[in-house]
Amino acid sequence: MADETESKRTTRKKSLGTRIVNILAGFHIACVCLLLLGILTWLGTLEQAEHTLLATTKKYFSYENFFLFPEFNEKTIPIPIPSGFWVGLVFFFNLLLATILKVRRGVKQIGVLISHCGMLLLLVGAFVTQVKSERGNMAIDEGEVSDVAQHYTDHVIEVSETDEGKASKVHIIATKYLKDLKPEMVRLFRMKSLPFDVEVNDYHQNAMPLPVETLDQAQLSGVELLDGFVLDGREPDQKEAERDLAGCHVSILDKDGKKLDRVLLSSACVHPASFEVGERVYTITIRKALWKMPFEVQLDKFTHEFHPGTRRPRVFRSDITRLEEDGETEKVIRMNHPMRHNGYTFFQASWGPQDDPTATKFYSVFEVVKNPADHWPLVSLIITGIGLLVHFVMKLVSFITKQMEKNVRA
Amino acid sequence: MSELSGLQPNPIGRWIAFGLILTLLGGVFSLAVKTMLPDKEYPEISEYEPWSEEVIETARGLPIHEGGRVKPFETYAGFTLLGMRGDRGLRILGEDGEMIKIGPVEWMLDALFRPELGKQLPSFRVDNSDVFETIGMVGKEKRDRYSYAELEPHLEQLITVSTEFQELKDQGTELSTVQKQTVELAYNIRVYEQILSYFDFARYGVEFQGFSESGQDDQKPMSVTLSMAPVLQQAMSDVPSPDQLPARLSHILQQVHSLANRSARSLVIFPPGDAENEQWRAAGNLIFEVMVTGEHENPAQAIADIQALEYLMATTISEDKGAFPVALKKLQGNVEERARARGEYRAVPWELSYNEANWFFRATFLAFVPACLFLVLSWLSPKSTFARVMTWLVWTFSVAGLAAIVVGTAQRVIITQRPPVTGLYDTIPFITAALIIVAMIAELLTRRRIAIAIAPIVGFTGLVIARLFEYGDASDPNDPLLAVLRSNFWLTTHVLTITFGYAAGFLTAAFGLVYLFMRILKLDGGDKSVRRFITRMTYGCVCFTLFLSLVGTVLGGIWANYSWGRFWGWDPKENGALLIVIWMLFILHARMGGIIREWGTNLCAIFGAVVVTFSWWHVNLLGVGLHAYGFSESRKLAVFIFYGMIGVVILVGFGFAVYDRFNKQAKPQRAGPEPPAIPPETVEA
Repeated sequence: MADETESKRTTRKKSLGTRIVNILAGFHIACVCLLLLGILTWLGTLEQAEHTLLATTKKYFSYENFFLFPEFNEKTIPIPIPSGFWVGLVFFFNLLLATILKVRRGVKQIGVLISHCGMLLLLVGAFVTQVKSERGNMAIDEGEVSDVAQHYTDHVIEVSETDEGKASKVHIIATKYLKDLKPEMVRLFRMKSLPFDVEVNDYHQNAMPLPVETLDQAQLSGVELLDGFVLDGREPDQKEAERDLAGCHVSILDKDGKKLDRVLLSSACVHPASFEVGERVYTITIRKALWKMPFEVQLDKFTHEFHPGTRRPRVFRSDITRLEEDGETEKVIRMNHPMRHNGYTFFQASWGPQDDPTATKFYSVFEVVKNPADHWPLVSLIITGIGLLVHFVMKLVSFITKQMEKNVRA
Repeated sequence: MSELSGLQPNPIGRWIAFGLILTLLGGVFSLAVKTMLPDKEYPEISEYEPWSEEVIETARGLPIHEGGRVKPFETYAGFTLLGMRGDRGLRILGEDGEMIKIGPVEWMLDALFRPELGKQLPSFRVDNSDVFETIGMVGKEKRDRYSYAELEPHLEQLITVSTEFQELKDQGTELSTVQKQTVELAYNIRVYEQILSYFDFARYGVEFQGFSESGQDDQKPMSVTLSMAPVLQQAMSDVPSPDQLPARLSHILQQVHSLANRSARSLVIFPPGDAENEQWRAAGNLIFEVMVTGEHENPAQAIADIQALEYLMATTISEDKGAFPVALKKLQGNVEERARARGEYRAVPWELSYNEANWFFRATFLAFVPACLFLVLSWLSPKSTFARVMTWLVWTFSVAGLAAIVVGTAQRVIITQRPPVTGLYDTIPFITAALIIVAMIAELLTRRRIAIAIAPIVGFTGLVIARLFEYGDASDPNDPLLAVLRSNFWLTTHVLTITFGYAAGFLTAAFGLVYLFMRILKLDGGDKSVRRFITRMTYGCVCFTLFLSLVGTVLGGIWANYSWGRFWGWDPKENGALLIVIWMLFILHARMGGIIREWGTNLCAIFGAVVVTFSWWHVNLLGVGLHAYGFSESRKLAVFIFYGMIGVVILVGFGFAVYDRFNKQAKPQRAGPEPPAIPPETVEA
């Protein structure tokens, strides 16, 4: 109690600014944040079983929501809870301030200070990963070479000028201009170096073109029919967003806004749509965004093994050759052993054909990741671990010393 | 303990504590014996003749390839019987009503070599007799065991119904418990039928129609038929399609196909001759490869193997009783020699020794049960010489139990050649051992006879849970791992650290419980130093739980990052581990901020058991994510019962803490101002 009185007396002497900083860096805010993060993680984990991972993480940890209402057994609980992103942000600043203040506390707090620094690095690393990392997949047949990875979810629209039937120059409408489009929205893209503009409408993140003959009259009413196909908009796949196939309707307009042509685009279609403007032929398509690597990868051999007599996977291994200007390097990529090179990491992700037991030629799929904060978690772990170890060992030594003294006295 | 002089524990409280511990131990004991309860009635099979010790000993060591590895026949038989019967043994009444115990090896020998007897053994457990309603059969007790012979008249209906249920499941329908049990029973029966029919090729041979000089049908052994494989294959290649084969040849081939299918799925005992080939073969595989595909690398060896099995089968009906053991020994020796030559026999003797030692079972009943009894006895007269002797015995038996767990775990490491924790089952004995070790270290440091009390209770409870899990799961935990888990470095660092974190979390809760019951039942006799001491122990455990869980969680993230390119995937298991970290951080920060003190720290520590259980068990039951294994309704119920018990304890503790607080405020002049038992960290530092 005497300590508390002393503490109160000290508090009274502090300026308003110091008191505010102390509150912001204080244990109360830290505890509230930790409790909320715990509750969010717990509810999110339970809800994940009902509403899939993607939808749940978006609901619980997206910066777009300030509050959310959890669901349990498909019933909404009418208690608003702050979103994980914002709670995490408050916690980050609380941790940052507390760490800065702890610098003044001397040697006894050195362990806590170090561990706080480690945690800050981890949180910053998570943020850098979220903002800066890129990921896609690269599928290569045995004996083939590729230098392009495909983005998992992002789509682009490509307009190609053709020369003697081949694409000569490609103009890309980037993902960021398409991502926020809704089916009812219309967006005009001014194509500066082309004699026409592109107007996109009825954009669906997930859609399938259906041949008109597969639909009955009721299904055809009120929908646009183009080249014998109807664009059937579907709910985005919550479990595996990479399975989504975007689709839209596109009007080709001259520079005065007059409609020249109208086409249906779907990333389910292998071939692009073509149209003529003037005497030139152009093609247009929607597809997953491509990501060019600074080197080529050749799949020499893919090996898959199961534990004998079972269908339990034992080994997935890709023998590859990395082709660069300054030479070739043979590498092996397998589970738990990715290839890291030039800031890119290639992980063994999948293979095929998996449904053909007689197949003799295989393809391998690599997950390609470029993450500037790739090794930050490890560094953070080492720092945090050292910090906690220092702190707890100091506490333990103090505790043991006291106990031994007591035992000796007893 | 000089500071305790004059402060006596409340005798009523002590008796209540005594009763509570006895109830707990009794409850756990009843769970343990539940798995060993004999059938209410034993079937009488008067013609049953037990197998000789020699046969059993030979058979148990026969190397067999199953689940992706080479293991003893005994292990294979044990898990097969466990999966069907929920037990590793059974009893029947033999001639003159004599009780006969049948172990897994004998049970499988019966199914293989004496199928008519095997069909009468109560091999199938049905947990809910409602299963039989759908197939028009009248069940016995609600939960009972049935023989194949009892189920045989209804098998067609059972298979039809279970196929319908399976189709529903494949279409995404959530099956009811009874429907799941129906599918499970049908599956078990199919597995058993494969064992029953394994030796059909040796039992019946192949009928050759009209080949003999007399024109009569002739029955030839399979090995003889196989020796004619080149002729038959030539005949097959001479016709454009199999339909045009002469009827006599077609008849032979149909029989060979049928018999090969019956013996292709169990008892995979023949190692390949080719060192590059890892695929062991069952008799059916040999028949198929020699006769149909012609792909066997050494047909002469394959025919010799089939011949050996035919001879073995023939000895079972021979009048020479000594012939069968000799033939079995020869077969076992032959397979062992070939397995050794391939370097695949290494683990078999270790596993036989592991099975025989039955470490965890012995540790439960020969070490921890007596240790618990001595512990309870030591409380009858806490400060007497008798209590000191009892405590010494608690130590001795707990150390013995711990040694058994450690030796058993080490043997499993040698058998599997991987770190000790790779699956949910492995975590249980590992956490149990870790808890006992920490409790013992804590006792050595503190010498208050508090921490040591945790050791036998945890040892007993942990091993009973392990046994219940093993019996419920009925799958061999030593089988090889999936490709992604085949990294001894990460299994050692991440999995062991996180598992130690679970152990530390439970120990934290255990100290919290000790504090709570000590306060409520006034076992501390009003001695505040004891309370402070326990809370310091709780605090220390919180620190270590945080350290281990945090390091384990981040290591898991790093493993995921290095294996799949993502640090965090919001997998339920990852979230569970994160929850432990968050909860421990909360306790530490709340204590440092003065938000919680003695009562708060201990109550929060007890709640930590809920958080750890959520992470350890509950997330596996959600059915989503990478760690969705070990699911079962009964486990889910057990988890909720545990939550409920902890919830009640916390509520009671909270109520008492509030009462205690008001009581102190109401009598300040008598109690005096009490300093915080553990001052906030900021002040302490």
